[in-house]
Amino acid sequence: MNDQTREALLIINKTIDNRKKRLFYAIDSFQIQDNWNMTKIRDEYLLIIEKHFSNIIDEIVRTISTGINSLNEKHIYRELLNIFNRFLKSIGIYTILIAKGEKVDEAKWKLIDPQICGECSTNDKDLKDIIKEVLSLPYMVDDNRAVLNGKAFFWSVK
Amino acid sequence: MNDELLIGIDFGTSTIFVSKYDFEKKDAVQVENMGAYGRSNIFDNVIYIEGDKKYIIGETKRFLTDPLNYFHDIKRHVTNDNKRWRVPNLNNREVTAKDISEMIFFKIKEKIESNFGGKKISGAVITVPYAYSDKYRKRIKESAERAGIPVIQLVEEPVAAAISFGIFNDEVQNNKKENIVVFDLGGGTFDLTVFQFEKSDKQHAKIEVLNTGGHQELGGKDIDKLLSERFRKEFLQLEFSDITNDQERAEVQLGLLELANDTKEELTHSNDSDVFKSVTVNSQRTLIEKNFIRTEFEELLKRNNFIGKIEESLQTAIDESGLEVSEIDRVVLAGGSSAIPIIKRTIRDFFGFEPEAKKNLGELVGHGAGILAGLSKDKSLHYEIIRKTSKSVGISLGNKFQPILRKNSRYGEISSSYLINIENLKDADELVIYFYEGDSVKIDQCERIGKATIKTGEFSAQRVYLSLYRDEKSGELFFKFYKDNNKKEIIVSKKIESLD
Ligand SMILES: Nc1ncnc2c1ncn2[C@@H]1O[C@H](COP(=O)(O)OP(=O)(O)O)[C@@H](O)[C@H]1O
Repeated sequence: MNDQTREALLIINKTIDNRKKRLFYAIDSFQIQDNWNMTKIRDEYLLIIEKHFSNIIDEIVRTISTGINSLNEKHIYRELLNIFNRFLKSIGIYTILIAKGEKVDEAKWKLIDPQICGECSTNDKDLKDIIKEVLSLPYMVDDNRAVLNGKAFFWSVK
Repeated sequence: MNDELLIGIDFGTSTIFVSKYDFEKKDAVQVENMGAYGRSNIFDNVIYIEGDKKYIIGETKRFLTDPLNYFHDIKRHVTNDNKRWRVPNLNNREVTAKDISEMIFFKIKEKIESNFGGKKISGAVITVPYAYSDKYRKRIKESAERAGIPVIQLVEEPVAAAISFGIFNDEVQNNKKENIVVFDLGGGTFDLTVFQFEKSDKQHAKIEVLNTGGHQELGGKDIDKLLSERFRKEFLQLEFSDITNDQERAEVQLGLLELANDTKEELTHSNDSDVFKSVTVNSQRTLIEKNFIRTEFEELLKRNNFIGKIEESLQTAIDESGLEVSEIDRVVLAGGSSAIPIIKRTIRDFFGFEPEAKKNLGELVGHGAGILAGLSKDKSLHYEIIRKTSKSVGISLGNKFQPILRKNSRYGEISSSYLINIENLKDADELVIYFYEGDSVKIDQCERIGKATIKTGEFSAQRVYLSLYRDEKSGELFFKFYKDNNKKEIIVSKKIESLD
């Protein structure tokens, strides 16, 4: 393991540590309001947990992805991402595939956040809603809901 | 039981919140599932236009992929007369902010009605900023009406907040006059309103607006900027402009703003925040890592005069209300940024007692609008609201603004008269007078809001006297010309013509 990999692992650890604190605080201060029924309580509770979980996943995936994209130890980072994704799968969080060149329909739009992109402008109207590059995949839970949206560059039609 | 669909819409600068009047509870309840995809009830005031009558509201994603068909900050543009956009998805049709507001209201209506099994909205109360002049109020009203929403009335945001706060708060005693300040510090604006409030029970209340003030451009976003600048200086030691790659720069800027927002909100409930983020700058990884304590955050707000501006605005608002600080009975917090501890402390130190936050801070205004919507149909409710004009209205004398109807005149109150000399006009001439609104003595700092056109033949006098007033209910501006200074003989009395 080289220094960069060591550093990446350190960042991952710290991220988990840092976000754990917030998650616990949010759970501690969860308040049930008078007019909530069971469904509402469940929804609100899940909302909080998901928000913090997605935050942790987001930071970690971002850290690993920078490694995959810009460093020479790509395979190590790929493996790290695999390990991480396998772990998430074991607790019920799975990824779904999105791909470069794919035209995104309304259902998939819900699952992907476009990112600020320097060189995505185009005049070609046919490129509307088409993925230019995938940055990370959507992370889903059981009932087909995203805990963390995927990230991608889209063509921006001017 | 009446089961009409009566709603309140808080059409905010950054967000929208919708409530519905519940006849059984005699209260307004939130309308759920209004946001784009999620379960959010308060949603971003943004729209993506897919085609004719095909809109997505509350979703910010298309900003990056299809910016020409995406609109945000529309409410800010409502006050701009010249702004127009061509919308590719509407065959390049040219639209104004009013047209886009209409589309947003159209979608709001569609969502609400589908939420209630297709039942039609029978009336709505929509909120507007207190400082909005007639012209802009009319734009908001018409855009909702064109979208098919029957508008019962518009209500000023702080008035709605006062209704929401005062009526359902048992601590506000019956038959006791209270002076209440609504302190509303949101994302981009800071509004202060001083009221006199009196209720005899939940169904009967009188609300008088004594003064309005604040700061047009002060809010949570400014705090985010201060804090992100602080992080930039400490950890990156370079200017954003030193980051050569556009995309990287945008990511770092946005990343730091998010980090600042996160840190700020954590410091609201916690004494310290572990700030942690890795950013990539010029292909180098930099770690932002720091235990940031609340006092340090507060120092930052003081040093940059954020707190100073708040204190100044408070002082001016109270002075202009004609009350002493000691006469204020309550301070009500609204707006997300009012939750920040040092802001609360500043308020407490200023007034000498704790401010109150009763509702979810972002929902106060929409809740009040919903109650007012109910009031219109539920005959058991009787609220009397006395409004005051928020900025002086007058005419131009060269480069000078001559106020006629002064700030804080009550709606319905006829101003003192102003002498106008028309000696030089012939009978056939038309006299056109433009009206302006503002707080400045300079005319170019004021805004032209309407005009009066009179055939001079109507006058049969060489000197006439002009008075202005606002309609008691609608707040619309009217002018009157008198023959004499005692306002006895009226020559003409008409509504001010709009410039649209
Ligand atoms: N707990 C909190 N602590 C500090 N600031 C907060 C908190 N919650 C929300 N805010 C800030 O409040 C602002 C939004 O205020 P809000 O009243 O909802 O919006 P609007 O701009 O539409 O009036 C944002 O700047 C947000 O960061």
